[in-house]
Amino acid sequence: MLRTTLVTLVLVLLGWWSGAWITRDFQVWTAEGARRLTVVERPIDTPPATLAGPGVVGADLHAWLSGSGRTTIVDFVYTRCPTVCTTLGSGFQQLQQALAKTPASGVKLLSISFDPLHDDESSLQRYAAQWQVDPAYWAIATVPDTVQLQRLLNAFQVVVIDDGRGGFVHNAALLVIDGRGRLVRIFGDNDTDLALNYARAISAGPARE
Amino acid sequence: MTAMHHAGPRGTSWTWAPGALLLLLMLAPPIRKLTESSMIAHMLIQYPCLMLAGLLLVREVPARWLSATERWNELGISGFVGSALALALLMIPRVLDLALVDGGVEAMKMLALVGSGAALALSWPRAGVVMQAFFLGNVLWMTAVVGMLYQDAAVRVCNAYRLDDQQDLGRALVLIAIAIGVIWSLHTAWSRAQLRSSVLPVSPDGAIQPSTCRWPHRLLGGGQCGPASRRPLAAAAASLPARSTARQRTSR
Repeated sequence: MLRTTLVTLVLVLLGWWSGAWITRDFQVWTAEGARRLTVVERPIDTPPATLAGPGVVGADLHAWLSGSGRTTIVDFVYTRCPTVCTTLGSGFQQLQQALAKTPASGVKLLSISFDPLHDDESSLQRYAAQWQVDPAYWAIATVPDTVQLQRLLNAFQVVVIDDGRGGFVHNAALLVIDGRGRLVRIFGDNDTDLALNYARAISAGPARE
Repeated sequence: MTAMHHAGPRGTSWTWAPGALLLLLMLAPPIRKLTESSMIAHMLIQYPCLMLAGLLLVREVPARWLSATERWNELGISGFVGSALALALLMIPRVLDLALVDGGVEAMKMLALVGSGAALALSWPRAGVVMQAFFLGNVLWMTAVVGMLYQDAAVRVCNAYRLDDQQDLGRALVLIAIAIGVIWSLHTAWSRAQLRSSVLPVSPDGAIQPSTCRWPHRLLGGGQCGPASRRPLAAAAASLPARSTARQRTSR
């Protein structure tokens, strides 16, 4: 029985260790939870990507995001999206209204479409009109180069899947990017106030190490 | 007579082929892609198939090697603990997502499933009913709870899978947990009844009871196996081939 007890103990320890690794010390149970936790500890650099969209044609994403005192809240969308993007769209609309009250805050909004095959310049313009986008605060763009786009989605762990009805499902969230072009925090798509307060705080304070 | 000579010696038999074939099939990239394309196929086709492959393969390991594991797995305790832990870990939603993008996690996941199948196959006959009940109680309860969580969650727990897929899986997990629990309970009650009546072969009047007068009586009626019920029982038992297979399994 001693040998059996020994093997069982080793298995329990192994199981405990694996469980701690999978759940980041029993804090998260989903990949989305792990993504949000990891980003807090280790900010993710924005990979090189060329943007296209109304007012941002040819801009480099990293350069567009960078700037002292600048903070950007990014969301990923596709303009045909009827469901979750409505939440994102109206969330961004609220953010835009809040930003318009304090124009000097340095916080910007950027919606990136992950569907460049469908979302050309005119589709993006239509989307901008639908949500009454003010280009002073909110830019809409896509990354036409699909290799660059996939690298960006992978880096930020944005997972886009088929919804079975001709559209997409994705882990929609509010991504806060600091003035050095690093993804530093991820908020749920309903937590617009939290995201805005956090973005304002880091854009006002000194750049974090 | 000549046909007998064509049957090769036992060592050259291909009985390990089904397990190896199943394992290779599940590892083949197109099948892996297919079985991981939905959450329900991932958990309810790939997981059980890998466990089954482990079970089939371990049965082909020579008995003298397996007897060496006996002292390290008394009553099947280490095997049960190991597989219960592995199954618990592999039901964490993050594992399903990670397995799709991280080759290391995918390899460990598959190894754990094949290992669990093998460990269960080795442990099951060594364990008594109490150990089996303890193991199933843990694993099935956990499966049902995970199933209910998957059904009730308003958000997707896996980034790579859809919400309707997750809810289907939740319902299926609960049903499977209930089904396995019921089947095991019935089978255990059945084989215990069979065992009990076989150790008491002599009736009060001194006559040795016929072997056909065994299982259904205790399971269904619970009364004595008397001469009056002998004939219908014999007919019932003769029409049920399941008895002999159940016996073979327990004697393995």
